[in-house]
Amino acid sequence: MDKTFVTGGIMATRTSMVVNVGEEAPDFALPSLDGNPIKLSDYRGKKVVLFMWASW
Amino acid sequence: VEVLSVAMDAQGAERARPYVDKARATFVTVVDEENMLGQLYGFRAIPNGFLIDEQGVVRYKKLGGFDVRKAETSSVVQRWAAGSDLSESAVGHDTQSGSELSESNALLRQGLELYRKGDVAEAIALWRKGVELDPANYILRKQVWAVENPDKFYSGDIDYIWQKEQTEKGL
Repeated sequence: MDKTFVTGGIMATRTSMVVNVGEEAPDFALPSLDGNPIKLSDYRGKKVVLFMWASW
Repeated sequence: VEVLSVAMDAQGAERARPYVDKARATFVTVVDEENMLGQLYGFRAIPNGFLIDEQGVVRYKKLGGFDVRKAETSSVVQRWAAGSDLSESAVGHDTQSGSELSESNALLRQGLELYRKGDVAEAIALWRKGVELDPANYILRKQVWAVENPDKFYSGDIDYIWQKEQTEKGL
């Protein structure tokens, strides 16, 4: 897993990756429901539950 | 422990918001319209969970069946928060990283540009190509179902019997 930072929906790499236990979680930036940019790395120093879901 | 919730909704925040409101969520929800995380973390379906420690290292992942509203999930999270090692650290099947996943996600993004301009039919045509390339990409596949059949998703309960029929028909 490289540490390529990905932002604004632009993929820095088109390669699909698998993130394994023991590896660093890839950082990303996405807008909150209110439109504020949030980065995973904003949570550094805390335990984080990253939870992916959808309305469908 | 903080929860960062990611709605994988190509249709945007307004589709996700009612669920967040209903759950009276106190955590932050972000919206991943372009399926950035499916590509970056390697998954083709949801719901998924990654437990990430203070240093940013993944300590547990569950692909499929992870839902912070469920007792089973919150029990795992609570044990981890309390400092215990989890007996199983990876649950569920990894997605095979392959060009077909990248290509179908590229079609998702291209279709999304058209969708945002209001060219819904053309967007769906591109998305259908993506589904053909990678039928296992349920992030794209179910998104198409939801755009085409909002009544099956957004008026009352989600119709899972109908979804099973769509899968069986190869749609």
